[in-house]
Amino acid sequence: MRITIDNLIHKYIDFVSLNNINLEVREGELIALLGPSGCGKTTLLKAIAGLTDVYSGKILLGDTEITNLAPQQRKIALVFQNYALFPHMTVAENIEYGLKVKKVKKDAREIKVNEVLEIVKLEGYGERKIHELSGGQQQRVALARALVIEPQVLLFDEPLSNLDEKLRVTMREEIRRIQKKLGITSVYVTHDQEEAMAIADRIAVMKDGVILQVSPSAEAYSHPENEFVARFMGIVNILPYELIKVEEKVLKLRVFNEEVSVESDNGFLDYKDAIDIDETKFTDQYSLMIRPENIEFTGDAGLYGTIRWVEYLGSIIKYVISIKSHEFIIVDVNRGGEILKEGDYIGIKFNWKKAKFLTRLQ
Amino acid sequence: MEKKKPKLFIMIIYVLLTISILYFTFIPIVNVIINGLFFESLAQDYLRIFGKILEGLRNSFIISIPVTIIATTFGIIASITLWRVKFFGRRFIRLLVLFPLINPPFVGSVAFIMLFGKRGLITHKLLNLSISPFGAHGVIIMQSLGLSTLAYLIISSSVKKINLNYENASRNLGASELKTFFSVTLPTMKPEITVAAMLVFLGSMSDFETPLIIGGQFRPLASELYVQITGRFDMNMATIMGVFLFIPCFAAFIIQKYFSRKNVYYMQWHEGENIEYRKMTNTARILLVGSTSLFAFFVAIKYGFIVIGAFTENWGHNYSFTLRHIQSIVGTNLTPFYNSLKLAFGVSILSSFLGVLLAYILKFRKVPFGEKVDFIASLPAAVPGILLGIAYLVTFKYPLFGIGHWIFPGIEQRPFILLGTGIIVYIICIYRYFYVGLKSGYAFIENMDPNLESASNNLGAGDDRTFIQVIFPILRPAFGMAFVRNFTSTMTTLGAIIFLLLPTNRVAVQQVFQVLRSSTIGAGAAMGLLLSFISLASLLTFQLFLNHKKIHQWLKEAIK
Repeated sequence: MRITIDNLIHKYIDFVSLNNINLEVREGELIALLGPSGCGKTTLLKAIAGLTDVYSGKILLGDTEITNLAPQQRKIALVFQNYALFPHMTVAENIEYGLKVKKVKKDAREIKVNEVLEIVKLEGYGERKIHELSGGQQQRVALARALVIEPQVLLFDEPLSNLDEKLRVTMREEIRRIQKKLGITSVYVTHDQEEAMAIADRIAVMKDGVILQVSPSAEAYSHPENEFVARFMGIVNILPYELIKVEEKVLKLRVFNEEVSVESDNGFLDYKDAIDIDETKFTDQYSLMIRPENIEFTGDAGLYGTIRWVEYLGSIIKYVISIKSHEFIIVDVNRGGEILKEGDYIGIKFNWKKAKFLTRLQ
Repeated sequence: MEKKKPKLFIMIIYVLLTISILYFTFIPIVNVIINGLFFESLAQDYLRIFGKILEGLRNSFIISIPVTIIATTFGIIASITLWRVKFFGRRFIRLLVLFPLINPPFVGSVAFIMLFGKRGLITHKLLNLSISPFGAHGVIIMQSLGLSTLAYLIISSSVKKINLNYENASRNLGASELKTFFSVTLPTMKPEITVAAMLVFLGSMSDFETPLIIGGQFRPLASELYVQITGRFDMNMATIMGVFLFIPCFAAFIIQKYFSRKNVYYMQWHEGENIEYRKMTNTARILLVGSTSLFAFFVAIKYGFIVIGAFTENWGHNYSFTLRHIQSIVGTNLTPFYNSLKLAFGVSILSSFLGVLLAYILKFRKVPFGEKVDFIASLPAAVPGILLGIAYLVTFKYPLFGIGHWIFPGIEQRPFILLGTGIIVYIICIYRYFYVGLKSGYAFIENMDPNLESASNNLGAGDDRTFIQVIFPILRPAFGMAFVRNFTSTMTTLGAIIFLLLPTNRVAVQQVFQVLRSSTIGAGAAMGLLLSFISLASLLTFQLFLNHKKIHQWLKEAIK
């Protein structure tokens, strides 16, 4: 079922926690709400679940407005951050709670409970007490409890944040597998960009109660619209530049005394708008970004830099390089070749085709 | 948490504490039970009194069962209403419902007599009755009023740490508010509710004063026991009765302990979260706020009439205003009030400190018999005060601190007899309330990072420094909480000490009780009022002392 969020505003007394949110979650899609803590992502999730009162705006499930519907009346299941499994009930009792509420007969309940236990791979755990389970198992029970009521929408509130790294990776694959299999429209809150990219069809990046960008997962990384999104999605190098000339399809710049051209289809920026802007205004508004994998070492180049720092990370090696007191990061794939050392002076080549202009954020 | 091996110094403290607990808790209790069960003239004695015991027990249950149900229910309702429902005057009512704590429970009986007594305002003036309304129902009403506060205090702590996610999960799964309350909210409050119910039950079972004042001919076992000693001087019978009074109390204690072990919920502390209900039907709101306000209203009436009674010439006959009662107390003898204060301060400081200290040792150090020591230290919670008093009486009347007659049966000189000294009153109160500091300490330790001590050690601080600079400051609120509870308890307790007091160290509660038993309303009310006032003033002073930095800061800012 599709969710539409229309001009949603939410306030905690005077603090505006959600500022004019517009978002559409398509049928069967998993969308990740990504952002730092305090950005309003959990509040948005709670608003969808009906667990907090919104100030204004609308939430629609399909074509039905649910903005002011009690949480009990929405067919939206939430997987809580700390699972919120009822401590006084067994695994099976937790799972069948929602069914009991719906007055499903005992036999039917049992069948359904066993079904979902199988889906989350916890067959035979029904009689266990909650505190006897590991974190990963509790996570599965929470998922099972949400799935069993056959919700129209599934919400996840940082469901993996209490698990260790390895388990997180396994569990997110599993959540994705189950979500795809059942085709449930889902909203997934996380502050981990890797998790978001791995699990979501689309990512909505949030900051200070505002959605900055909604785009398919890969695009959020390769085509960020502003510095915040770019930084949140991965390592960025912001380069100093001088604007030389604005043309229809190309911007001519000077970077580290080198004249370069950046094409317009590499970024969001429509250069037609930029033509009228004068140079200082342009540099104030837009920053030049290049991802570390788009810079390489080369024997003959116009630019040379000094290696300041080396991080050996196994499959990749991260270098911090400085050119004229400006530091930036290069990521090199480890092919077993020679590893550069701190202090090495080396030629550097930028792949200007991959450079992007981003809106600066104050 | 991994417990460390104790250093010698800690071990010595632990051994001393353990010995003293054994000595002043375990031995007297066991002694009184042995005395009661295996009396020389056993068969004869039992036959003589069995009927009376059964009747007393039956009467005890007639009161304590409804009181437990009423007070616990009120405790739940008031906790929810005062912490989770927003309404006008909430803070005021929160304060009002705590008032019964600073008063001996039976003092409220003044108000009862003034309203429903033979010449009571309602029975006599309004309804023109001259029958005596004294009996079980009055006792039930007064005990419920007094003990609801205790239930509220304990249950509200569970309300304050409630995890809203459980409720939200339930709502999210489609459960109605009512279903959510009964299947999620209430069960997670169960541990505190059972503790409250147990303490209310024990409080009702061991209250001998209220029935003696307003129970008329109706006498539960605790009151009968008191009468046996003070009226008939029949120690044997009192001891046997004491054992029978102990049985249901101990059973309640054990059931609660067993239950709480089965229901350990690994709850997280959620302080600071807004726990108020977001939406509530008008019916629910009216019911909750209405019944809580009614409860507060009764409390207010109770205190209102104590105040009125203290300033009325002769209730029922002459309603003119007078300062006579107050003047006569202040003018004649204030020593009992002074004694009460001295006792309460001494006891609450020592007992709270030792309790918290033991909690620290038991939770942080690998010591032998930890669980058993904890059990014995908590045992006085299950023993009605009056029985503990008798236990001290039968144990410490012998020389060498009570055990002399076992070790040296023939000894005739009487060195070190505790009974008849002033100090025994302090000792019994300290060990009776030891468990308060202990539990309070546990509660704070559970919310403490288990690695704090290691962190301090790791930074180079020794155990003594760690205790003084890290552990003690963290446990200070535990001490403060225990202090307040122990102070009010000691100020208002009578059962445990009534047989141990001498004419020279009489305490105020004793005076109030004696005056009230003779139905002298004016004097009783005035004394009750004065006692409450002193308790309140002392607690305020204590708070000022504890928070002097905050207050200083606040004053500074106010002047700016």
